[in-house]
Amino acid sequence: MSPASLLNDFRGRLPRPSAMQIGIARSDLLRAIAREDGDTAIQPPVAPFPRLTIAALAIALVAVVLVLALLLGALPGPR
Amino acid sequence: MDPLPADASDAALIRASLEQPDLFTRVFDRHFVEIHAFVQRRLGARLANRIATRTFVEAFNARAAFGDRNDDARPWLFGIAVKLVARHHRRERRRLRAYARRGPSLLGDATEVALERGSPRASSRELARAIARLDYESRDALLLTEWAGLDATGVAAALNCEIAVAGRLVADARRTVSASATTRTFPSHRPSTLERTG
Repeated sequence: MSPASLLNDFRGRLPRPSAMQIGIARSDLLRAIAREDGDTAIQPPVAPFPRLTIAALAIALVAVVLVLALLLGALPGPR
Repeated sequence: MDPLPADASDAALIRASLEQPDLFTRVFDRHFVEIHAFVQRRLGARLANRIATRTFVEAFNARAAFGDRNDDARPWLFGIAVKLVARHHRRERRRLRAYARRGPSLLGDATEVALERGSPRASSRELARAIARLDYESRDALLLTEWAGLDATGVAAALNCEIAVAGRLVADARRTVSASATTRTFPSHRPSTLERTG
């Protein structure tokens, strides 16, 4: 054998993975696909202003108004 | 419904799978056995299933990044496989060295038996020893060429480097391995007149 052909000989031939191994690998891929499908299917559309945000804004607004009222009430008016 | 013909290119399937994810299974059906064989050669049967499977799951998750690559997805898939194999590079080196020391009886693995086929045991062992000595990048480049059958363009795509760099890596690795294996296997070998003048 010539030295130059060593690398070619090193290639050899390998047995194919069994049908069961291929099936298991395919199932894993299908699970990943299903996960992605599930992600897009289950994920609710994002509301522009979720309820919680609106409630928080309302509370903050009321608080600001109250503070302003208190401050203005406490300030000495023109006599 | 599967809108693409049976002979649709890998690239077309991958792009279409962005809208219809299950089309990606056709890419799996085309290339799984080849990726599996490559990983099995490098790391053995035990890890081959896990890594070949992982390759396709990662490819699926990253398919949006496939972009405008060539029609053939093999370099891309091999590139992912090589990154996963890299996590086990110590194991690969240990395997090659063990093979070089003791031959196929050590692991009793189909890979080693296959390596022996058609090649004198001593030369395969020297070759394994020489490949184990290569740095990781050179080993990847060489094995992507010899075992995965990629050309320089494919190796460059898999390793994410310039084509010229890939070509040089392969040429250097081939020269190093051939020289190393030849020296140890054929200690009395001298280049023939034809080789010297060629």
